[in-house]
Amino acid sequence: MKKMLSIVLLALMGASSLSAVTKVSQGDAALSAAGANGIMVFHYAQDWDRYSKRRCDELMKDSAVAAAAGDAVYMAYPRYEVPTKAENAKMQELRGKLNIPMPKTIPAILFFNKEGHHLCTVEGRSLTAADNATVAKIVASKLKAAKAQADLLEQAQGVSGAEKAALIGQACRVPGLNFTADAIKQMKEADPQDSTGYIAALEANDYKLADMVRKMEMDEGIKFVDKILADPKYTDLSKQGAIAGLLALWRDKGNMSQVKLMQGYCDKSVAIDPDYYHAKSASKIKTMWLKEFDLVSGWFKAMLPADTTPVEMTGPIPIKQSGKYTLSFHYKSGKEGLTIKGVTLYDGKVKVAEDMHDGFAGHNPVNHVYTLNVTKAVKKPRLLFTFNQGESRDSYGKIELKRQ
Amino acid sequence: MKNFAHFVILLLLSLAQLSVHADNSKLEIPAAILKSPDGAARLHASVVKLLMGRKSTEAMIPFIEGSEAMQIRLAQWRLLQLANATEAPLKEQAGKARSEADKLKSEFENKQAAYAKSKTNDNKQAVQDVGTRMQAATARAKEPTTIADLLTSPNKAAQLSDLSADLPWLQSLLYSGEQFPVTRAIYLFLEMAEKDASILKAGRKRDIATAVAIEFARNNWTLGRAQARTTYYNKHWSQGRLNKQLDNLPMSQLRALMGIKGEHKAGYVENYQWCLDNVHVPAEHYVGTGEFYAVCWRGTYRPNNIYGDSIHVNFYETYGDAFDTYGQEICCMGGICGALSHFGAYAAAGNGIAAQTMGEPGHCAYTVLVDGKWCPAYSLSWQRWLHWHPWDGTGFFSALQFSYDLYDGKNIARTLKAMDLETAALALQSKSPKVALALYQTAIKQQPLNVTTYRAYFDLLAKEGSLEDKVLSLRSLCQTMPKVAPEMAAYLMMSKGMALLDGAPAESRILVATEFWKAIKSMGPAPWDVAGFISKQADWVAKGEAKPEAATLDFYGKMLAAVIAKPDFTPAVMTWGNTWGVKQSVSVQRALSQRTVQVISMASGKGASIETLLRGALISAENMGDISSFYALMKNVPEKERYLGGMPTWEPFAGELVSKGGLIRLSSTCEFDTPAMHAGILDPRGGKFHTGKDENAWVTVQLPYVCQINGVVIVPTGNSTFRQQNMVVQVSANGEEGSWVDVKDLGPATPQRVTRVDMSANPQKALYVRILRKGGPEFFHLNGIYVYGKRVS
Repeated sequence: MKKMLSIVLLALMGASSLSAVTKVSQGDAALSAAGANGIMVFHYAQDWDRYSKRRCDELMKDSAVAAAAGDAVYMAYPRYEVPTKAENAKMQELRGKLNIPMPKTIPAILFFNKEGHHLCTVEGRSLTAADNATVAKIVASKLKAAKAQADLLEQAQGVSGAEKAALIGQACRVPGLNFTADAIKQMKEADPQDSTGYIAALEANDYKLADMVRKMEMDEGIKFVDKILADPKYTDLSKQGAIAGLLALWRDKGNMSQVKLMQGYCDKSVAIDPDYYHAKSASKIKTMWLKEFDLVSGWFKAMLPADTTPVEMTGPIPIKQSGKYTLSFHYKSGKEGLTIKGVTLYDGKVKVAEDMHDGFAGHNPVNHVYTLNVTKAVKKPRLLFTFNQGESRDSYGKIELKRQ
Repeated sequence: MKNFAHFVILLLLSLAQLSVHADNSKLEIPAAILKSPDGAARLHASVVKLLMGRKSTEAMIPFIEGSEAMQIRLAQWRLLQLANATEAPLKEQAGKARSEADKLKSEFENKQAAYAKSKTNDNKQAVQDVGTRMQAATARAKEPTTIADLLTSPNKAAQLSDLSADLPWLQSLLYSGEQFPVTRAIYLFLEMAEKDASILKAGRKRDIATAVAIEFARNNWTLGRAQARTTYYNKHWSQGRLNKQLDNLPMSQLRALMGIKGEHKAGYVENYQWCLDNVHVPAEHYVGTGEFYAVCWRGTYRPNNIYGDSIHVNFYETYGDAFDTYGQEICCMGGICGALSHFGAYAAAGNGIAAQTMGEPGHCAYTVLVDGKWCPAYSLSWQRWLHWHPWDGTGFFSALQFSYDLYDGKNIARTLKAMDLETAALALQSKSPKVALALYQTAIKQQPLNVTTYRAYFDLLAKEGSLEDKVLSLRSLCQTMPKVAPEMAAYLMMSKGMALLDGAPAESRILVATEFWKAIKSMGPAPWDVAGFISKQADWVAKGEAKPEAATLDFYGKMLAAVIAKPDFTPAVMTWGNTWGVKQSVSVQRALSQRTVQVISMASGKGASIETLLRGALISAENMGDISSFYALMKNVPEKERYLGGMPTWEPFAGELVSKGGLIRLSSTCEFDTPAMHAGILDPRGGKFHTGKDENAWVTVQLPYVCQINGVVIVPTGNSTFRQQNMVVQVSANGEEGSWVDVKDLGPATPQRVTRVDMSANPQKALYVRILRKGGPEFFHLNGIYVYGKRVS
């Protein structure tokens, strides 16, 4: 009864802002008073900065924010710097049964549904750098998303099996909100075999998927990544992670014939979200790894085979006239030096010169110069290199061609 | 000539004011003196004259303490003297910057040529990068190296003249810690004042700018970064967005905050801003609490990037400038200890909380000032080396706390008074060394913890002091400072003190060395390398002696007698004795052993067993996690008293017995406990421990190295089994409260004599294993804990 009275009083006090929001000072009161728009907790620093309380007060009094909040219940909540036992007890008393998590930063607005489930947090520059009108827009969008999520969950209550799991999965995928309470548990109960694929998608993340892809064979990896990219259940971040895994897989197990294909995956990563770092990294990889094997680029990890299959230079080869040519290998970076078995020059399909000997280009090169005696003019020069790198392919360097 | 006459008139005028009143506005250093090459000498002459004008040394002290005008004059002279003393290093820095600029010029031309040939973004970026560095080096090379040079405008001359009469500013600048190239600090400060004149006014904004100027001058960082850092802090402090700690931070700690790596990406203001927006949390959250993980863990520990590249090779290679700030980079990508610790420390710093990164053996950790205490975070060892030193050479962890305490509200007045006396002594030491020595002594009495006074005093003693003076000064240091700051006292002894008695009779050195151990009460703010200090002392007392072993034995006996009732130090002293002894002849070893027994017997009276005598030391070694000292002490326990014997047999888990050679620690000890049998707990021959009547009693096993644990075998005592019900096996990476992860709850059933906890399905990586006995209050005892697995680091 006493609690009820205090809610009524607080509600009357809150009415002065001419909005529907109710202001309460305690978690249990917030839970009792919460309606469709739930609870908004304005979290501030208790005397360890001079700004956050001021900002929270300002937002709690703002009419645009209040209009966006609709029937939401407002509650201000302090965070002590190094709380004493008494202060901890005070915070506990303020929270009551409302479980208020620590946000990543303060000030913050934490959104809860009327059952007290934490839906999302608005924090950082969304509060500190934005004006009140912008905050009001964010609040409105969060509450709209929360309603969409609540509707999906309500639908899920009326069905069972895979259909239920899919609806819960969709609710979890409403942008900008946390997973619903016990989502994965409920989905596993409703659809133990994960026939909808939602559980796998919700449990996936960029690094996890990249790790999975990196352990696959090349063909398997491509198929898997294509499937992930086509599946709307996966987040953009997960999709970019899968692409990153594929690029790493190609570097380890792929070959130069797949360069264009991989460049396409880099472009896909950028198209998903150009601002995220996986996309920026994919752009860089496009020029770092997925380049021509020519005299300008030299050798690099991605073009080195794990066996002794000869690798053909793809860039221009300035060997036209007869004469004595030398090719010197100069190591630049990487964990490994380069182990060379030989260099062969073809004119079209006809072998015209060759120098096969074991050489090594590293910090201390050994026999790293190869000589080609070209006895007549070459019309269609092709250079093939034979390396013996094995699995140790982390090597980069320049190849210098000179005519004696 | 005209100038000189002008100077004399000004000086006479200002000197006259010393005796009349202290109107500081008339006490500024005249611009003529500031610009004069021999300004320092002129000011020195006037200061000496004023001091020597007192009837006695005793009369000088109240004169200095009672006259703000005199304090200003002393500080002014100190400023000009410091400017002269640091001119050569500044010139050297300018020269290096010139060479760097020349080198970069040709690199810049090459990059431009490359860009002209191939207009790629990478080439364009390279031109910009080298161009920026070249500009910075060129600007640095042109910076002034003397006070006269920096007063390029009448405005600047007037500003410095005004500041030179402002005692609080002079004290902030000169008496807040380590010395630095003051000319450059003033140059930086005045350049910053050109952009924001409000920093000239007394207040926190001026303090911030001064601290930035000092530390950027001290570390030879760029003006641009100094300006950015000052602007950032002053803007957000004015808006009230920073942690309130910044409102009252003592100047020495403001320097710690502003001196955090100025040229590191994590210390750029863009990152600070990101941290302020995204990691604004209570101070204790940066180091972690029982409830909240330390902020550094917002980044995931990842030794490989998403492509599988190692952190040690090309982790960052494919990311280029993908991240705007360091914070975003670490929160997205993660990293290993260095990256995570930098993130944690700079997140705190960006919020106005003093923080530092620090090295540990094979690890990088950090520390944050929380509620007046420097707290380690993500720390795996007590062996820490700070990345910012309060005074040059004081990289040890406790120096930070010491620098806080020396300048906090309780101590600052005494410290500043001592600094005035130190400056007076410095001014007089060439004219009248004896008076200077007396003034240093008074300064030390005023503030017995002042590092700079001891350093200056010891330097003068080395030149002018008698043996008696030297012994007295060192005894005074060893009698006072170890009580509150033992590690700092040890540092002062090792850096300057010991050298004073080189060549003196061994008795003098032993006397001084022993005083240290008599005075010491506790470890101080943090554990430190006690063993290393004992070694240095031992070498020192034996140095140059015809019979070095005899001197060492004498010192050892006296040192042991001094610490025998101080369990924090007995392990270290006895361990050192054992280590030293094994390198000696049989007769010396015998003498060492006799000395040990003699001291222990004298301390304990008759009839006490060695186990009883060592009890405190063993428990202390356990509590400090000092594995080597524990086993060194155990050597003094006869083997038959170390192990229980008659243990049951069990089937081991996969891997090796990784707990062997580890160390246990108990929630408490009691009269039924036998610390000499604690090593047996981890040995298949068995041992025993017995806690007090504790609620939730526990025993922790510190493994010798981080392990992947496959299983644990627990051997309960077989009696009073109700005390061993409800055991929970837990693991932790660092053994700190709040870090324990439950592996297996053994429940209320009476445990088997051999209780096996299989973890092979989900092996845990940990350095610590704990058996928590829930409930109580009740005793807890076991005969063995055996951890199996494999070493991972």
